[in-house]
Amino acid sequence: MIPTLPEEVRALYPFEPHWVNVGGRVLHYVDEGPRSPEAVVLLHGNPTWSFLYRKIIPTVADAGYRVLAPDFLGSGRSDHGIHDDEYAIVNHIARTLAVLAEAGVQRAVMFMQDWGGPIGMGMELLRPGLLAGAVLANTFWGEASNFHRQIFPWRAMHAPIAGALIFGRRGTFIQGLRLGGPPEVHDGPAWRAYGLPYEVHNASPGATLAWPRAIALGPDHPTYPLARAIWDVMPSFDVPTRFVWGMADAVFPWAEQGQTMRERLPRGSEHPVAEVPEGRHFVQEYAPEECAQACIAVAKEALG
Amino acid sequence: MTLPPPLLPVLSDEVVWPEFEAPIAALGSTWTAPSGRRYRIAAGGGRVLISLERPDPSVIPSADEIDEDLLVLAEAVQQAVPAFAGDALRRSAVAYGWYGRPFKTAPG
Repeated sequence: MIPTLPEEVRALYPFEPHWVNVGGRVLHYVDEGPRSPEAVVLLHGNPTWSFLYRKIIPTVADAGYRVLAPDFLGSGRSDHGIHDDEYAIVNHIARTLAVLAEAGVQRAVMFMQDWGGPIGMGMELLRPGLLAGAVLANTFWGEASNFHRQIFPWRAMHAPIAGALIFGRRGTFIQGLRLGGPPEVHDGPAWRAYGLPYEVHNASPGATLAWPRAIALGPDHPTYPLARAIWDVMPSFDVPTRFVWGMADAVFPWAEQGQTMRERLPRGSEHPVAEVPEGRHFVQEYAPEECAQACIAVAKEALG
Repeated sequence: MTLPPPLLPVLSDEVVWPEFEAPIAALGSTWTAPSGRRYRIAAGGGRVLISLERPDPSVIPSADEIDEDLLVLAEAVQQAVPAFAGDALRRSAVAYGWYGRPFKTAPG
């Protein structure tokens, strides 16, 4: 865990920390806005943390909603695991449910980006009724995209030995932020913030190596049953739904992933997609206001 | 009596994909990098542990030197896996900025 942030990071991310011990691991989450059993829950992916939501949290809280932004195990200010098994997606789902339970959240509007999608939708799978509304942004349901099926650069980077070297010893998967984020985060305090979890845990890949290996490439993959279950249950998510999408994302192209989920979700097509033409994978960095307004619009509809 | 050289574990991987098991096993239990440094490889049960032999315990190579050896090893393994390619791994790692950042501290 990271109990204290450098001043330059705290200047950009001035939220009080909240901590919960889940299964012997200390997890961090942001909890802003009024105390309520209903909240907007912001779910990050790889290799980011709740810092990704620093510009979104105040806007949603100022609109009168409680906002939770957890850091998954091995990310952000949370503890790192020791064994890869701890990073199985079902374990992330179970731990995040525990965080919400500890915080007293019973219904959630979820903003889901990258792995936030399978974890958020997986939580609804395990605890039906939790999901009050959904904002989907450059995400998926756990099965590999075309990008993920490519050996170069993707699979070769996290293959055995190479993955432990590049993600672990050199800790450089964070470089993905340069490919999927705007120039403002390529250096300075924001870059320092994103690298902080791996700077502190030197030579530990945290969750960064486990995430890509958890993508379901086929029926024999350990994550496949979960991904299929999410796919199967998606048509039952009859909740207010909106999409914000970075249209320049090479990992999750809109036509391949976003459109597919929009057609799959019963209320996915009720509203126009908030397209961010220049937005790459980390759309929150390109269009925080659009992301915040999508959260607020869904929250108004779902929570009042 | 000659004692074996002390070992410095430098890399472990808990998830060895099935198609990588045979190429890693083919390396044997000892691998010599082009630098001349020797590494012990313990593989099995879907895991691999790589340790540096230190014939002179007072000498510790820099982390960057060890990483360069390990990248050569990773290239050799990928070269032996169908559809993967060792030289493409290095080119990708460099092009995407996933290789080249200096270490801040030595491992171990």
